[in-house]
Parts: sequence; C-alpha cells; structure tokens
Amino acid sequence: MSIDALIQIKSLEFSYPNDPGFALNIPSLSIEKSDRVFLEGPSGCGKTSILNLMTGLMLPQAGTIDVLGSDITQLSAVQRDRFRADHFGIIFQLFNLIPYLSVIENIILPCTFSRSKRKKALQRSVPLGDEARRLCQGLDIAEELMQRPVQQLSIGQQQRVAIARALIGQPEIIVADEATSALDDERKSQFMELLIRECDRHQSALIFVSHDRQLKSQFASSYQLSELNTESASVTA
Amino acid sequence: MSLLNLVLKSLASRKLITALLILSIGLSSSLLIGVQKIKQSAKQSFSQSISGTDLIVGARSGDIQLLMYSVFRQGQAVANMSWVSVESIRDFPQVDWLVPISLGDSHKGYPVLATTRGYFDHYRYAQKKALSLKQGRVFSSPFEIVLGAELAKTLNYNLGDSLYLSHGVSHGHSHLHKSKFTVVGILASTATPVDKTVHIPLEGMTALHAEDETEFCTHSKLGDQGLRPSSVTACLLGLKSKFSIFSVQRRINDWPDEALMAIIPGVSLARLWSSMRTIDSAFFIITILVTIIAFIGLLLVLFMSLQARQRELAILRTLGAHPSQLFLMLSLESLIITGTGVLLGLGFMSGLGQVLGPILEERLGLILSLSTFSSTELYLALAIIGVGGVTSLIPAALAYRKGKGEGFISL
Repeated sequence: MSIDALIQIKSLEFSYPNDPGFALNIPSLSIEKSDRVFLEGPSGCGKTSILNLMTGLMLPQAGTIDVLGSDITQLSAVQRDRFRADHFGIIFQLFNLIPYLSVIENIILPCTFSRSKRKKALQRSVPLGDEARRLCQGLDIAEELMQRPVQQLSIGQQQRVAIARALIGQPEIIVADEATSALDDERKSQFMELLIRECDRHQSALIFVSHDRQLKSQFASSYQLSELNTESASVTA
Repeated sequence: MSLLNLVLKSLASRKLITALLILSIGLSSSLLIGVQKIKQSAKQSFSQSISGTDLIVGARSGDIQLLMYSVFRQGQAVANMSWVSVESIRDFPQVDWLVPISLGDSHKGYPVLATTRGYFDHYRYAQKKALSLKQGRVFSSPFEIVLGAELAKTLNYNLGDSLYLSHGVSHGHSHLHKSKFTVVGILASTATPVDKTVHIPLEGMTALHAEDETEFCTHSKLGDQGLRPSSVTACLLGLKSKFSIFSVQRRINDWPDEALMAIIPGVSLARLWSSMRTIDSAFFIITILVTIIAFIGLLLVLFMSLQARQRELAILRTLGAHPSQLFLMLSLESLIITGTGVLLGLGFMSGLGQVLGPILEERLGLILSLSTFSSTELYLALAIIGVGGVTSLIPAALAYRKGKGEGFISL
C-alpha cells in the first residue's frame, strides 16, 4: 500500500439493487498520486458506477475506497458530499452548466458548496468573480463571453467553462467523464491540451475517463476497466 | 452565491410560469380574504343597524319577526300594542326613555315610520352613533316629514317638496292618503335601514287614519290631544341601568293586560345572523376550493419543473450539494412564490378597497375596511403561505429522494 496513492480501492463489490444483471467487483485498484490517469473502458462496463463510487455519490456493498488517505465508505452522507465538494472538480460530457447562470456564476458555483474551495479561490483573487476571470483568461475564454447566458456559448466554449469550474478552488482531483465525446477532432485536441496544461498549472491530478483510445497516449498511466472488473463477464450494456 | 440567490435566479429564468403562479395564488388569496372581509363587513353593518336601545317592545310574536319589522322594516306586525300599555311602560321607574314607532304605510315602496321627536334623540346605530340631519330640521307639526339619505337621493327630494303617502306597504298604485306632507329634513347617511325610511310624526299618522275614516282633516299643532294614537306597532326602550334589562323584559313579557314581548336587539340580531350561517359557510367552502385549485396548479408546475430540471439538480449534486440542500431549494422556491402571491393578493385587496369601498358603502351600505387587515386576515394569509409550504414538501421530498440516487450524468 503506497502512501502516495491518490485513490486506493480494495475488494470492492457493488451492484444496483434494481438491476441484478450488473455487478462490479474490483479486488484491488491503486491510482498513484502521479499526475494524469486514463481510465479506459467501453460504455456499459461500469465507468459511471466507478466514478459514482470514487466521488462518494454511491456506496459499495463491500470493500474500501481510500481517497487522499481517507476511507470515504466510512463517512456519513453529508461528509461524503462535503468531501466531494472540497476535493473533486468534475467535468461531464455535455451540458455541464446551469442554464440560468452566467459564465462567471457557473464557474464560482462550486464555492457555494465547498468552504475550502471558496477559501482557496479567495486566496488567489478577491472577489470570487475575479478568480473566475483569471481562470477564463487561462482557458482563452474572451471577456465578452463571460457576461453572456451560457446557452449562447458553443459546445467547445461550454466545455472550457466547465474546466474553469472544475479548477476553481484548486481541488486535488479533476475527474473528466467522456469530456471530449461531443467535440470534433480539432476541438478535442485543443481541449485536451488546455485541460492537461491547466491541471498541471494548478497542481491537480487528472482522472480522465473515456472509451476513446486515441487519447490514451497523452497520459502517463492508464487502466483498463474491463480488466479490473472480475465480474465483467456478466456486464450488460 | 447563496442557495437563496440560486433559487431567485432559477425563478427569474422561468419568468412567465412564475408570474402566472404568483398571479393565480394572489387572486385566490385575495378571493379568500375578500370573502372573509365582505362577510365581516356585512355582519358588522347588519349587527350595527341598531344600538343604544336596550329593549324593543311589541305585540307577542317571534323575536326575529319583531326585530325584522321594527328594525329592518321587513314583514308586518301581527298586532299592535295599545297606547295604554305604552304609557304604563313609560312610567316604569327603570325606564329612561321610550320611543313609540308605528309602521304600515309607505311611499313609493319605501316604508313610513311614524314616531316622536325622541326618535332622533335616542336612536343609535354602529358604535352608538346618533342620527344627524344633513339638511333642514326635525319635524315639528303633524304633516312634516324627515327623509332617509338614500331615499331622498334616489327619489330626488329636496327640502320643501311635498309628497303623499299610501296606505299599506305596496309598490303599486295603492290607496293614497289625501293629506300632503312637506319635507323639512333629510338625514345624513347611516348605512342602516334608516336611510330608506320616511319619518313622520306619530300625530301625522293618527291624523291620516282618522281622516280616512271621518273625512276630517285638521292641521293642528303637535301635542294636540285629539291626535293621540290608540295603538302603535312597537316601542324602543332605553333603561337607566343595564342591570334592569332582564327584570324589565320579564315584566313586559308577563304583562297581564295585553300579549306583549320585549326583545334585546343585540341577542336577536346575533340569532338572526347565525341562522344565515349556511350561506356563509357555502361561500367559505367555495373560496377554499378555489385556493386548493391554485395549489394544485402550484404542485403541477413544481412537478413539471422538477422533471425539466433533473439535469440541473444532478449537476448541483456532483458539485457537492447535499440532497437536503436540493430539498431546501425547492421548498424555498415555492415559499417565495406563495409568499409573493399572498402579498400581491393583499395589495390587490387594499387597492380594490380604495376604489370599491366608497361605492359599496354608498350603494349597499356595506362598510368595507379593505385597506386595513385584522388578525383574522393575517392568520388566513399565513395559513395560505403555510399550505404553500406543505404543498412544496411533496416535490421537494421527491427531489431529495432523486438526489440520493442521483449519480454521474454520463451519456
């Protein structure tokens, strides 16, 4: 057991109570506190379930999940939510943003739910809006876009705003869930470049989950989900 | 950004639906409160038709019946009481004043009340308010009359006008008395049946009926013994002390010479009002139903918005929002809608009161205090907000449950 482990999973068993066809069984998985990790797996192999478990949105039936040295399966529901708010920045595939908030408001939204993110963001710039602007500048989001309703942004622009929101308050771990699948090839490589650069700059570890093997080359380490799951034979699509 | 801020922005993004909801809750709460108010005002106007009179005495019948004809000029007396009894009662040591009244004649459908000058001194309405003259003076000879405010206005009578009275209470062309009466006074508005009454001296009525029988007509001065009535319809009685009300009442009820009864106006008014309770509760039930419909609308919209906002809630959840925070957001949302709605309703009511109040008072004699709110209305307003809060618990609880099971949104 490495002290430098970012996430360490042991003898994890998980299934949905209303879906007996699906089961996740991971005897051991250790993600080092290196920097960039690629989790590869076709859709339906349990990617979403693993993310739910890692971020404390769901609890396994058995096993332990250590994140940054604490076993999140031992935390209460409220503590898990706070833990996720404090230590994770999350980017989805699509529609990351709250439609009725402006770009800036979307970016500072995580600070509503995490005091530590708020504190860290305010250490960099005051008020929070300025920190959001600083992040936007790093992500090539033009000043004029910041005032616009988010629906008027292109998908590529929306995904960049999502990176900014994930980065605010310097969470230790950035999780990107199929974050590039809605982008064309050119945008995809631009997005990856920005994401990796910004994660490095903010010293956040990146866990990138995708079925897209092309992206694997940009990561130091990678894991094949279907190989980790000993129950993968019973996985249904 | 606080949760409240988030809720406000979310509501602002759905302006039309939010505005319609606020409007529907506003209208139904103003309806609910308005009906309460009208009921209260009606009750008040009604129960304040007569005050300051301790007992009403008339021939024995039902107490409501006596009240109806003596105060509201509705229906007719089964019998009169003799003048001898009137004088005997006036001589009771406990009696402070006695005002005899005689009904039965009319003018163009308006009731004629024959009485003494004491009527204008002792009759009280509302909070012990005395009658006051808007124009002219109180009658001083038998063929002079004082008109109620509404009657004078509707029939466009002025001081000095002369008019004829008809025998009996009829709206058609019934038998007209021959003597001409002259308007000498017009009363100020009271919002009671007094406004619709023609007041004549008791002597005038006696003379009218005497002339009908004997074709004899004399314009004598008041106090002429020849014009003393043989009977009157009823008497209003004021006592020196309230403590003697029951003993005087008992004494009159047991009157040996004649079948008389005495009623306490307040008690009979309350009895009459309570007999109208079914109408009252029917109104209340209707408005409650309207309010319930408004809340079903609220519930529907909350459900629909919950459906449309699943993704939004899931995003908030992954950002670290606890299900209880989602619960709080949805409850807050409907609390804001209901609260604003009720405020709008109250504002609407007081606005309406400014416009409609004077008209209602003028036309119907309803004194509406729409711009001021009593504790009952405030409780009602709080109850509506409370029901709104409880209604919102259903979708909020659903959001909570969904939030618990909500994971990553991966497509």
